[in-house]
Amino acid sequence: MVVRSPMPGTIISVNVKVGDSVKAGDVLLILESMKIKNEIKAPQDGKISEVLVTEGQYVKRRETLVDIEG
Amino acid sequence: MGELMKERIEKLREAKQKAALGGGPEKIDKVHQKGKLTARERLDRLLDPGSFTDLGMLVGYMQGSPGDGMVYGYGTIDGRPICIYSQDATVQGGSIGMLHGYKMYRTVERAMDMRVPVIGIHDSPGARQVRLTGETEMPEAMVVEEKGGGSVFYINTQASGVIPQIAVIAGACAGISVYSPALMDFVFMVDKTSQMFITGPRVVKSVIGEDITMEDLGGAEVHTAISGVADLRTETEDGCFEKVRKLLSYLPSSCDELPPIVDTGDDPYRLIPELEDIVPDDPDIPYDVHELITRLVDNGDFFEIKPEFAGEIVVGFARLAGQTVGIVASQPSIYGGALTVDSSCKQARFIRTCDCFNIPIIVLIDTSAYAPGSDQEHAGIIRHGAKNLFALCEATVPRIAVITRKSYGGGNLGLGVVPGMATDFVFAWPIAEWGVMGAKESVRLFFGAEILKAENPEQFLTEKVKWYRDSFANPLVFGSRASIYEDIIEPKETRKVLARALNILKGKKMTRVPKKHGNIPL
Repeated sequence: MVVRSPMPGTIISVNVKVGDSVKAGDVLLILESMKIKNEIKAPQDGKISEVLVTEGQYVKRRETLVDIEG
Repeated sequence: MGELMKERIEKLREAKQKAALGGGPEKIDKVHQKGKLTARERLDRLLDPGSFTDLGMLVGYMQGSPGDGMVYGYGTIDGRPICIYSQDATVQGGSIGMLHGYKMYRTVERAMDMRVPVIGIHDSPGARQVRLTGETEMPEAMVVEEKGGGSVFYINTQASGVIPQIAVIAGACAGISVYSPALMDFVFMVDKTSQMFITGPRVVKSVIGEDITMEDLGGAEVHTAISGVADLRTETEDGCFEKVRKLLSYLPSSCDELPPIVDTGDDPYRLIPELEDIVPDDPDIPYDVHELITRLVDNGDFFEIKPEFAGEIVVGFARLAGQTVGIVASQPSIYGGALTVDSSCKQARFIRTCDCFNIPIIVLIDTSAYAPGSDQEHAGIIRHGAKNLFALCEATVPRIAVITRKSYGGGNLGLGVVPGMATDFVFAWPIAEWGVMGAKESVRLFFGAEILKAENPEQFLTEKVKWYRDSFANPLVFGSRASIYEDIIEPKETRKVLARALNILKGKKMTRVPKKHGNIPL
């Protein structure tokens, strides 16, 4: 399941890497937008199969951030 | 009974039985195999049991096109009358021929005459293709009558603001079957089995060379999350019908009436102490505004419109003291609750919908202002933002605003809480901040040089921000100098304050300068 950015902004931290197991609600990364730091959480349990963004990167709305398998 | 009467009754029964099967059992099986319901099954499930009255079912019968691909008539939902049509994909693929178009038109026209809501269930590829037979007679599909498929746009437009118009998209729809819904008040879609496009993948491929599936071109997700064409999607058709029934419960039957009042059993003056803990003091920390909405409204019941589109603004219907209210709330957890091109369209549309149907509006404000940047400017935030300002200044229904935390910059205007923008009551929570910009930004702007020179810049900034917040970004200070707020209230009192304000505003009447119509920026 791909996790998309709900808003445009800058990635200020990436908390997961490929192969990590996550539970629904775990914070995957922090996205700053309009000076607010937003936690992007895992929508489901699974294993991280892809991380498409790095710290400092600007992302658009609906850009794919992370892919979770399972 | 005479022989002729007897014979005709028998023939009539046979004809009705046959017509009720539309394109026949084989085609019905095909519909079911796709996981869809037939036109008539849809009516049975949406309407109160046994309430549907069929009109014009024998139209096209002798030509082998029963109902001409459309079932229409009237029925009730929760005992309230509505007019309805349902396109029948088993007859000529549900395509819109002359008689089909006429029935569509008449359903809307009749609903408008009767002052009752109209519902259209759409499952049609659009206008019927002309079957070229080599004969010299004009094919039926090319005959255009005044009240037909294309002109349904005319009657949708005339009915707009008079009666609620609700479209369900229950199949792959194109042409008239997407533009007519787009002229209605609400569009609901079913996931995976419904699509909307002006033209399908085959033409897209041949005209511009793009390879795309029906789902990626105009599926339910596309229209609820990306384009904003549809208001919400459900997993099943039954789920969709449930949403339609619920939506109607909030709406009056026409603009002449007030929305129904429901005894919700929830004390309007209930105090809500937990509201003090939902909104963090620090304006840079987000929270989900749904937590606020569901606590404020009757029984936590909130019917959200466009939940997946432009999430920075949350809109939808709820009840307060049993009375329908439209909620417009900034969402700090998406885009800082900023006003964007998409959120402006969503907000303006919702405000106008409420205004059409006499639904008071409650605005909850915690916004960082209009979203800056080339994306927004180039997409026309000024034009779309203006649309929203227009909607706010034009609306005459009661409007009450609560500033829970931030209301910076243009956000004050975009949510209509600047005095003179016709919001009837503006209330502020004790941590409400009003200003051209936030405390930190204001301090940086005015003390930039001093911050740089300071021994400990971080500490200097923190102290200055605290000073600024106490002296300026403080509703007690601000509210005592100007009459911006009707009152500064404790969060726990919010529901009670809103319920009382709604009550005094019940008789609100506003007159406007007579004119043809305003020129809303589009």
